[in-house]
Amino acid sequence: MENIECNKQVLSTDVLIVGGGIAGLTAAVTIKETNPNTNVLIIEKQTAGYSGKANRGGGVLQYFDFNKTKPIDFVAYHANAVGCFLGDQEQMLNYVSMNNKMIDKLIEWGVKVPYNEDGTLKIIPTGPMVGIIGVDLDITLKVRQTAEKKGVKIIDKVTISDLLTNGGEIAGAVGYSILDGTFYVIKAKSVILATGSQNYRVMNMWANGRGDGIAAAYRAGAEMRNAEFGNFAQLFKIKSHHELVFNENVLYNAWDENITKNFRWFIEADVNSNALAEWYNQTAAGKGPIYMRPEESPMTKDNDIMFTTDAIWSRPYGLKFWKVIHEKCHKVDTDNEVVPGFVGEQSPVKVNRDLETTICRLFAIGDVSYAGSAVAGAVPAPPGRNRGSGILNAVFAGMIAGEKSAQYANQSEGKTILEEQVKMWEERAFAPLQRKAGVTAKEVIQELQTIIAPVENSIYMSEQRLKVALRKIEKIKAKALQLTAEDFHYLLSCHEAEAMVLCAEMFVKAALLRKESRGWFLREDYPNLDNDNWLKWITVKNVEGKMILDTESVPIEKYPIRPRNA
Amino acid sequence: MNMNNVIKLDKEKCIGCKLCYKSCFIDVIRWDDEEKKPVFKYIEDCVHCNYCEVVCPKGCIEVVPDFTGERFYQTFDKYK
Repeated sequence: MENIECNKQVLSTDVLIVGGGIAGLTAAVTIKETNPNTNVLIIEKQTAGYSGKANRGGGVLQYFDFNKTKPIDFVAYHANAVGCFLGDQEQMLNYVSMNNKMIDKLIEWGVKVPYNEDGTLKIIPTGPMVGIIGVDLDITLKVRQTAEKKGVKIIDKVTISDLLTNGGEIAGAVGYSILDGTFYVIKAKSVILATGSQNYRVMNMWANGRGDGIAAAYRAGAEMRNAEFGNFAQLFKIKSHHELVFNENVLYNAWDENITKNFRWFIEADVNSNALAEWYNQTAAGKGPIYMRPEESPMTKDNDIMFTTDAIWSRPYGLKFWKVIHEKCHKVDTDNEVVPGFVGEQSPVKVNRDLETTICRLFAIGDVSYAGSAVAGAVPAPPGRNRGSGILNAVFAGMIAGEKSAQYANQSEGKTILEEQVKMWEERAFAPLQRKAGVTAKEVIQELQTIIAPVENSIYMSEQRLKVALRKIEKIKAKALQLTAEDFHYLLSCHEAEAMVLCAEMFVKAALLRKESRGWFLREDYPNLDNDNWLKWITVKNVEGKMILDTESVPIEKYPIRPRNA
Repeated sequence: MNMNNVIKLDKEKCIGCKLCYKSCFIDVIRWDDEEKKPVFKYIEDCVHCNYCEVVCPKGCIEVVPDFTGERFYQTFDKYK
């Protein structure tokens, strides 16, 4: 494609929200509820309300019964068993304390949750302190409708490619229409990134998390944190690539030995990276293949009734969706062999407790900043651990950032947009269309997938394997300078491919630095938790084009829950 | 990205409501404004999420997934 003559649109708003999934929509509605006169614009690269994961991978909300569990009790469990003392415990306490309020808000915004006959919420316990309630999959559509009723403006099919800054503060953003290439320059007093995590396009239902927001924030100079806790995976059926929740307790090797019974002590929905490492160890020792036995789990013995019928919860919108998927999968599933499927969920944009990044008035919410917020510690973004926390983490972050950005909008006039910056980002955005020859996004992404997806490279790691991975990533990085695109759809794929290369590089570099195992993060060569040296967060920053890694100590002395030896 | 998923459309039954186009979360489906019908323009990017099929009020879309083309990239795949 040569001589592109695209239209230009210059827009101005108080708050620009990038991404129309549940986090972005929650922030939008919250701003309008806090301050109805604030102008709010959502820019979504596909269609707001259908984007993100809440309407596909969702279906449940984490629930705390505060008559039975005090927030601090859950924080203590979480710090010990999940976050492994790398979490911001104060923020986790805030998240848990807001649980019932968040669910009430969603219901107020039109989201459908199931009730018992006596009018109470229908809750299923999923662990000693936690429960889940069903939520129908039209959750994001309902919140989009609420947002529009409150006056939020939404532009679909436009992608934000870069952020505009001025003197270390946010000034706006630029992007383009994936339909006709119209270039957008948007001035904003605050920008909220709600663009999801990095999933490298490997697993089907998570394939739209492509890290473009992470990359834009990085290029603009925002700091990253916890990039090494990036990669979630779980066991999927080998033929249909379908997962079954609750089946990690009933995994068997070819010798009929239960391979997880030493660390799965009770039935829980949460996924454990040790199960993936065990798959690797068993298979490497010649004891594969590994099978699950859903008939032995009380939660799945009746053919996964939680999702294929309305016997537990009435979720009519989602039920149609789950039924179609289950039927198609059942047709190909002739056995129950399982294999690790790489999901991803890298979410490293560093934010403080107001969900503000290191760039003034640039916020990052939901799965773009889950690890970066440090709210949960040594785990990838939900559903890494704690099923049902993904949607509510996004709602939590959206409500906080929404309130804060509405305050800023009242106080500030916004920063001036620098024309030379707009020009630089416009040239960068359209560069792949100008190249006559080069490499396609598909080639770059597929090469990356072969490096990042194997369980021994991204879940159960070693120095030797990580160094080999890094060398390969560096070669791909050089190749990615020659990305070409024939139209705006493929142009977006090029920008996503660049984001994937960047995210893979920061993941591997941070993973090499952390010489211990902690929570989800497993190193074969450093199998033990090392509180003496690694009660630290690894940060990543773009300093004049160079990726600089550093560490900061976790202020464990200020937190209520501490490891025994700290 | 190696899948050969197929999306079948019964054009006669399609009422042009655009829900399939809107529900596609990765830009596989484009909209033909003249014909008022979906175009499965970037089918090689389809991840068989089935949303277009499920939201269609007339049941005129069928997604035929290609499970065999979808890759896990696990090293031990080769020992199976």
